[in-house]
Amino acid sequence: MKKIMVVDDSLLIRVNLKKIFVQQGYEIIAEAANGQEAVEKYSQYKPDLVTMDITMPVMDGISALQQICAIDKNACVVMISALGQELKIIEALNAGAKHYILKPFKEADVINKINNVLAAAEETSNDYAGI
Amino acid sequence: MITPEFKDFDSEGKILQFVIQVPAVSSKAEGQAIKDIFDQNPETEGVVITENNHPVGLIMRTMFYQKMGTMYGHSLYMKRPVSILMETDMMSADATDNVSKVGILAMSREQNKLYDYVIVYKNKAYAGVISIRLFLVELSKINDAQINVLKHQQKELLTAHEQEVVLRKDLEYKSDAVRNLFDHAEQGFLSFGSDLTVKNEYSYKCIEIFNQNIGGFHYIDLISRYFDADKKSVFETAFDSFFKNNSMVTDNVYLMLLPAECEINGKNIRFDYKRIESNGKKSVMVILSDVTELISMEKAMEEDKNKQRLLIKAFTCQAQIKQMIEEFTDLFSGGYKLMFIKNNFEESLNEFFRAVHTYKGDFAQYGFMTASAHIHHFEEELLQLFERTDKLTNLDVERIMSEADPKNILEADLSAITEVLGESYFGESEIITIPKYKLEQMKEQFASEQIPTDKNTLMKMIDNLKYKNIKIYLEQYQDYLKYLCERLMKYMPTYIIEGDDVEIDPDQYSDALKSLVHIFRNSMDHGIETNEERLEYGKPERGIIHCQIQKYLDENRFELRISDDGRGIDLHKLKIKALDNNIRSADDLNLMDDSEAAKLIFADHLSTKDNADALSGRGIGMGAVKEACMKLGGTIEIETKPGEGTIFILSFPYSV
Repeated sequence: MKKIMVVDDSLLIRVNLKKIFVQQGYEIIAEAANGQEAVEKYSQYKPDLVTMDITMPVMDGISALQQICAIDKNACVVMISALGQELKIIEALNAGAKHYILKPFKEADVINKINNVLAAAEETSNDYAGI
Repeated sequence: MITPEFKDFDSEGKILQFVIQVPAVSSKAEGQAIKDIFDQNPETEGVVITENNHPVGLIMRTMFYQKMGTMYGHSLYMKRPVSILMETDMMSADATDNVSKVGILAMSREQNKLYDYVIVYKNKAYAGVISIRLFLVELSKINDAQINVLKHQQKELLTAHEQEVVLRKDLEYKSDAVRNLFDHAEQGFLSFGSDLTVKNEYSYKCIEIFNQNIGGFHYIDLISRYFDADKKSVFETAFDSFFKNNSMVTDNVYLMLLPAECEINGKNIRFDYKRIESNGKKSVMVILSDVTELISMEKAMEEDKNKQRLLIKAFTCQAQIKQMIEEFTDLFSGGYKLMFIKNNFEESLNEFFRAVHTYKGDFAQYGFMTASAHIHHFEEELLQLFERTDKLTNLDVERIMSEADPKNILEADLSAITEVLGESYFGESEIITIPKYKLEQMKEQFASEQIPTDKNTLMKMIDNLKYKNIKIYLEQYQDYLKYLCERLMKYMPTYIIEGDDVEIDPDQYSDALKSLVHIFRNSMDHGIETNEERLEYGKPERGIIHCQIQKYLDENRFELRISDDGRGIDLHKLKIKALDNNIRSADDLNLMDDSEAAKLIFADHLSTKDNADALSGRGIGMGAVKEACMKLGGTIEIETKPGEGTIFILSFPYSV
């Protein structure tokens, strides 16, 4: 079962995302309300995928993403963003994020993107194993 | 097909190739020897006569038999040396002479010598002869071969040409087909590489969309003017990252981030971006779709939905709607003047503004969305007039009213109703529906011994027939709440109506019942928190709006409590607003306790919401409720607790 960590300072967003992921049969291994917490918990729980809000107190999502990618260059991080944050998302993609999800969510969109990112990650790790 | 072998035949070549050996006879031999040679070798055309291996003459078969055939020929030549028979005027050539030269010379000889052998020398020595007959045969053979080769080549060329034509036609057809497909597709196609220059191979539809040729344009320059100014940097950064990085996973994500819809020359255009790769070079294909029709269809669907709501309301609330329209039309076609008879112009204006605002809400409640939008617009104009003009007068009001035609405001919604329900909807006189039990009750009463005899009681009994339970009117707000929730993106609260059954006179209560719209609007908009806030405060997802009806017969009144479990009224903010709007002085406000401060909500021109929208927030609604209550001899109170909610307590005179 794939393990997901949900990072968002909004409780509502976390609750809604968890609901969607659990329905899809994923395990919510951890959640964090800011970037710093996310970095700490990433090392501790080694999730298969992280959903990362961009704007958060203490440490924002992009800084957290950079630190997580420094720990694990194959980290699967999907950014959560509001409308109009395109430049931030591009910055995140350049820093190693795999995809993004726009708020407010459409459930089908969330599921589709998360499944795609996880499938692509599996393919890459199989390639490594094959070599 | 077998290709005939082509012997290199060169008309400029040497004649050596045609030289043959023929019988040679010494000049001293007798004629008989020549006859023997010709008899024995029927193929032989002629004999060379030599002296010391050197040709001195030539006897050709035709000439020999001609001479033998003459009278005494046989006896004359048979036993005598051949030298008297032979032809000494012979044509000779060198082996190195070229074929055409020898050919021409040979053919220019006298007719009777045309087929004589040509004597060939090689290095001045006798090498043989050329038989003109064989020469011609060989030549024609070679020519045949050449012709065959040429013919074959021609055939091949023809086939090749035909094939080429077919292929070219096919190719033309195919590229035409693709081009056709591109050009006649409902979508425009264009592409560009890392220099962001639009390639010249774009489809016809692009010209139609941009109204110009677009090849060679810088893509961002071409399109950024159709988007908000801040989107330009999104295009720049996204394409920059797209062409710098190379990952099948994220490449498409960059493209997804690009703004996807805009208006170009009056059409709504949707942009789809696709990553394409050829010869290891990445480029971007842009597919442009004209979605103008789709958008107008969506709009039409939304309008249809509103229309349905309107029709359902029109069907179920006919009486209220008719009354509302009648009163609104009255007000806007002169009725407003009655409001301005009072001495206090300011107060009259407020009253008028309140009325207008209430109608906006009422029309929205009954699904008259177009009318509501018109009235909102009218309100805006009125507000602008307030701001522009220092001292408003009756004349200003009359001017603005002369431009507001109630017929225009209502036209679209009314015709939507009559279209379906028929013109008679508004013409028909009002029909009162009376529940069966009420008639049964009355019958029973008459049947019993206690028949009321006084006129007043009888009149009251008849009046009672048209009375209705207040709950029926409250239930009608359920749909309005649903409508508000959709607009405000909040979960629909649990709507509860409880308590005593109170029968009210619909005519008498119509203003008050309609003004309740402001309470519900306030509760949904200001009271009930956003979904997010409710979750964070640990409140249930769905809020509660509760209507409680309680009779107090000993006090000759009944109470309607409408409460919500929202955030309560921000009294601090309310006081500041009151100060800003000069409703109370700072000193007054400082002395106020909470319950007094809460009452400020009933003051005119006051709202705690910063921006007015079509729904609420202009701060006049609650004043209208208070006024309607007071007209019925009732009162209105408010209780509010931060984080817990607000209760409006309306009290109305009531007796059985």
